[in-house]
Amino acid sequence: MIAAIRRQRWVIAALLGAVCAGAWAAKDDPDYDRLRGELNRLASDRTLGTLAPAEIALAEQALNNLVEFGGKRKLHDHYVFLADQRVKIAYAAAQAVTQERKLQALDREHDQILIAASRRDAEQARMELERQRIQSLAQQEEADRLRAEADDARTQTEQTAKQAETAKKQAAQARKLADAQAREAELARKEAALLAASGAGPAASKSTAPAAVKAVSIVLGESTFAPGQFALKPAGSAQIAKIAAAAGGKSVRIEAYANDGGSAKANATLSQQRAHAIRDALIGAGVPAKSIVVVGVGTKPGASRGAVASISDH
Amino acid sequence: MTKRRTIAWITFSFFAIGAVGCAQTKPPLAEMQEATRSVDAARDAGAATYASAEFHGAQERLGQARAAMRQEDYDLATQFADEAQVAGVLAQARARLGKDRERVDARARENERLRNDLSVPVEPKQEGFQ
Repeated sequence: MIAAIRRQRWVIAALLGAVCAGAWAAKDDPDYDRLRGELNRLASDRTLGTLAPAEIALAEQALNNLVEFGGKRKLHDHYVFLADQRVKIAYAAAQAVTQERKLQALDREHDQILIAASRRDAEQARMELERQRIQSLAQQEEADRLRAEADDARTQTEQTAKQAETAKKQAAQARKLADAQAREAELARKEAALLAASGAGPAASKSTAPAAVKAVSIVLGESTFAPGQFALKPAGSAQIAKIAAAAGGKSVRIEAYANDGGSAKANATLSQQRAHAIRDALIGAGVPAKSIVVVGVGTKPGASRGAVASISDH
Repeated sequence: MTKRRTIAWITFSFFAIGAVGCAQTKPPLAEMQEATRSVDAARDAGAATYASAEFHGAQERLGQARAAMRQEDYDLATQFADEAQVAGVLAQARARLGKDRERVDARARENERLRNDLSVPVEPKQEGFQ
């Protein structure tokens, strides 16, 4: 019994010695230390440490196998090789994950570049469209302005032509009137000569000739009346004021005319109404009614719509 | 009686230890298949191009395992087969890493070219992976 107890003690002592020897061998194994250091650096790396947990676990298992089974020289190199490969696999796997994430970031950057370019192109297109719209508006405004200028110029040309035509007609009327007055003066002179030849007093010729010489005629042209109307237009009112100023106590003879066309009776009535309208206007302007004589001539060859005011001492 | 029983136990132990020691190790067919698959997968992953040293190491270990199989040294064959399998995995990982780096470089160059072509300014980089 005592011998058996002694044998058990020897067996326990031998087992403890073997475990301590194995632990001592693992502790002094430079390969284990190297691989353990590499794996610890990987596990504690801020970037790589969490990217390959499965591979790191396998490397830990390989290091444990090295400690547990790599005691024999024959198997030591084998387990060192396996552990070394596992540590390298863990590093490669973590770095591969890093590269894949970097590639994802580059893909996002690629998309952002395309988006930025398309956004910039859209902005440029919008600005170009706005520029063309403004340019179109400016062109339209310029066209409107030129059109308005052309209309004004055309209107002015037409007015100028009308004024020229009116002036031409008034000149012709004045010339005819002057011719008539010249004929009248000629007739008066001939009448005076006849009276002188027939023995009449020289006072008669003296009284007639100066009257013809002193007569002043003011023509109221077509602008005085509207066609078919006898109411005075503004242009005629201005002429009325001129006649009133020239009258100054002298006698005024108003001869009014109507255009050709229509019946002679209607033209006579219209010319009479026009003469009376001028008379009323002159009275309104201060000319005494008794010094005004009106004549509705009707139509007269060579005379158009209007009137002639003859101012004389008689 | 006691002496005879002791002799019998010693005899039984001797034969038992001899039987266990002389028992032949089985061929590591599963390990060989696993090692072959690992090396083939490394080849398919492009390890010959991107991790040639690791790939040739795995092939060499597999060849040594096959040679040990031919010599019926199955323990040695098992060791080489395990080493070939792990070396094949490392070749695969390195091949994957090489491909990823190549794609990252290509995409970075493409982005740079795109920025120049489209005249897009470089945005400030964000904190991230190196």
